[in-house]
Amino acid sequence: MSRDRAAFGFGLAAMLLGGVGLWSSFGDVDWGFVRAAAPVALIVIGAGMVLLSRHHH
Amino acid sequence: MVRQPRPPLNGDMPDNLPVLTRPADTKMLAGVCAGVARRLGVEPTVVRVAAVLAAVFLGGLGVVAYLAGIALMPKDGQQTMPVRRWLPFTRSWPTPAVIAAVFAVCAVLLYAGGFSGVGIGPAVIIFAIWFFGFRKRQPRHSAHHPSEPTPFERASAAWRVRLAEQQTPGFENPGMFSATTAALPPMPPAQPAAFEQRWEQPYTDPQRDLAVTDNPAPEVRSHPHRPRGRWSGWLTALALAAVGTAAVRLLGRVDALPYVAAVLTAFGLALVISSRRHRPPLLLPATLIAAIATISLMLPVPAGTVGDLDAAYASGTDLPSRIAYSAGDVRLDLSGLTLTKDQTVTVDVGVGQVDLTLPKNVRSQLVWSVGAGEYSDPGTPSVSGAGISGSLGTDAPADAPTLTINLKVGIGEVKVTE
Repeated sequence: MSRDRAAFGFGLAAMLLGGVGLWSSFGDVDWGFVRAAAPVALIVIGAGMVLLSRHHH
Repeated sequence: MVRQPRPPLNGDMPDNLPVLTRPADTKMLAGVCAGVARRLGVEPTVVRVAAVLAAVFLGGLGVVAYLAGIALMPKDGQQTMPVRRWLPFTRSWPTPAVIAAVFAVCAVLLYAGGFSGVGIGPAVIIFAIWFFGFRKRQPRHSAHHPSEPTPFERASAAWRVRLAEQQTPGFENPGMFSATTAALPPMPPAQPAAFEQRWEQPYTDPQRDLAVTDNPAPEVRSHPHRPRGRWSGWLTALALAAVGTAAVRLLGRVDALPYVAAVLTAFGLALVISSRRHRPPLLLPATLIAAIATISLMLPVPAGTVGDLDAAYASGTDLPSRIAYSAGDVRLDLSGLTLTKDQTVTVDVGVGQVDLTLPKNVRSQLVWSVGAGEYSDPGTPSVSGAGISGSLGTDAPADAPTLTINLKVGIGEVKVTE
C-alpha cells in the first residue's frame, strides 16, 4: 500500500524535533550528539522517502 | 505543412530535458559550473567562485552540489543522466527520486569520509530542495487506467513506425502515400539530399493521420490531484496532543517549551499514522507551525538591546540585577566591586562576546553557559563547542558577601579574567 510520503517524512522529523524539545525541558541535552545525529537522521528520512517513492512506482 | 523546430531556449541549449548539460569546450574540471553558467547566462568564473565559496563557507555544500552535478548532468549531446548509465537499476526510478538519492549519497559519503564541514545546514538544504523543488505528488487512484493504448498513443506509435520506415534505405513507401503518389514514379533509394524532404511531408491526409476523435481527450492537469484526507484524522492528532500535554502537566512543568514540544511530537506521530491513508487537511502546516514554535523556544533570543556595553561597577547599589543584550559585546569590570550583602546579577547575551572581570574583594560564584561558542578563564584551558556550561568560584575573606553571576551567551565567546 502506498504511503503519503510527505506526511511520513515530516511526521518523523517532527517527532525527532519534539523529542529534542522534551529532552531539553526535562534534562540536559547532549548537543554534540544532536549535532552529529540530526543530519544523519534527516538523510535517513530522505532515503526512506526515496524508497517509498520507488516502491510507489 | 512544414513543421519548424522550436528555437532553443537559451543559446545552444536543447529545449528538451534535461536542460542542464556539461559542455566540453569551456570546462575546467567536469564542466558542472560551466553548464550552470551557460544555463544562467553568466560567466563560468562567477559560478566557479560561488561553488568554491559554498564549499568553504557553507559546510561543503559546494562539493556535494558539484559531485551531484557530475552524476546528474549529462554531457553535451547526451540525453541520459550519467547516474542512470552507471547504475542501470535507477532507470526505472522517477527523476526526483534519482536526484534526491544522488544528493543523499554524496552527503553521506562526504560525512562518513570525515569531511566535518557537512553538517545539518546542507542536509536541511538538500531536504528542502527535494521537497519543494523536485517532489512530485502522484495521484493515488488515477481516474484513467488505460488497459489499451489511447487513440493518441496509437497515432503516435503509428507515426513512429512510418518515420522509421521512411528512414530505412531503399524504402519505397508503397502504401502510405498511395493516394497522393499513385501517379508518381517510385521513390529512389535513400539519399542524403532526400532525407530532409521526407521529414517535410509528414501530413498528407489529415483526416486519416490525425483521426483521434473516437474518444474524448484525456484530462490534462498541470498538478496531479492528491486525494484529501478527512478532518476526522484530527481526532487522533488532538487526542495524542492531549495525552502529551497532560503528561507534561503531571510532571509539574509550567513553562511553554515542554507543552509545545509535546504537541509537536503528537502531531508528528499523527502524521506518520495518517500516512498510510491520506493526511488530514492542514495537519502538516500545523505541524510546521509547532516545529517553528519549538525551535524558537529552544533557542530563545533574550529581550534586550543591540549594541556594546563597557561598564565598571564599584558598588552593589549601582550593579543592575539583569544585563540583557540581544547582540553586541559586553565588557563588565567588577574588579573594584564592594558589596554589603549577597547579590545576584544575570548577564544574558544572545549573540556576541562577554569580557568579565571578577571582583577581588567579594566572594563570587559564576555559573555560565554558552549555546555555541567558546569559554575561557585563567584557571582552565579554553573550551569551545555547542551547549557548553560550567561554574567558577573565587576565594575571598570568609565574612565577605557573595556575588552570584548567571552568565548566559547564546552564540559567542566568554572571557573571564580575575
